[in-house]
Amino acid sequence: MRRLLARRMKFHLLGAFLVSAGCAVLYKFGVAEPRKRAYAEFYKNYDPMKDFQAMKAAGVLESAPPK
Amino acid sequence: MLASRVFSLVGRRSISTSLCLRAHGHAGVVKAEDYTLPAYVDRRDVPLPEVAFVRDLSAQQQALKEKEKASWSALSVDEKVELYRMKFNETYAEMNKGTNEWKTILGGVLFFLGVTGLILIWQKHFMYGPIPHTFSEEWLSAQTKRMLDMRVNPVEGISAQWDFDKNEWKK
Repeated sequence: MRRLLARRMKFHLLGAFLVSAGCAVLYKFGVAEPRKRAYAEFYKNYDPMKDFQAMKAAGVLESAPPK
Repeated sequence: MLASRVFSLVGRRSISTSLCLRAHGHAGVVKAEDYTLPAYVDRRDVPLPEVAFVRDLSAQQQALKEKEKASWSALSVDEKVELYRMKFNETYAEMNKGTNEWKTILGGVLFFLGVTGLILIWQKHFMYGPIPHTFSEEWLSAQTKRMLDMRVNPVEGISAQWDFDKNEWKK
């Protein structure tokens, strides 16, 4: 009973801080970094004109039909 | 003017006094309902509740209470425990003890989830009509081909899983 609120508050404050910091760290290294890497990889050797020609040939562009 | 104000004060006091006499004179005091009186409660943050647990003491317990007024070292251990139990319902250990209620709750939740599942199965079998034709295999494959032709989500999504040179899904 002694210092009941203080003990509980200390425990929960520490826990809340650790849980939220842990969530942030997990998100950064689980989601954000892989995504940044994926985008960097994709655009490293990306040729938009080649992509455009491929889409045109497939016939999905209404104003740029395949010949 | 001052004299009249004094007179009104005196008049009000005399009226209220007579009203009080009338209220208390006839019916007496109304019996207080149980829920209006201070109550006993077993709570972690209330170490000394407003009343003792046992309200109506038996003759034996009253004798013990009389003995309590003397020196406490004259009381035996059993008598001290009896006095404690008269004052409190549960000890802190008993109060804080966990129950097995969570098993009942979990079982109930899972049971009703199962009932819901059965209802859904019944509905799919007896109630719903056929699904749209756009879910057929041919339609879905044509849809996927069109998505790949348009290069939908080429960085992380579906077009990133397709190998455009070999014309197959990436391993």
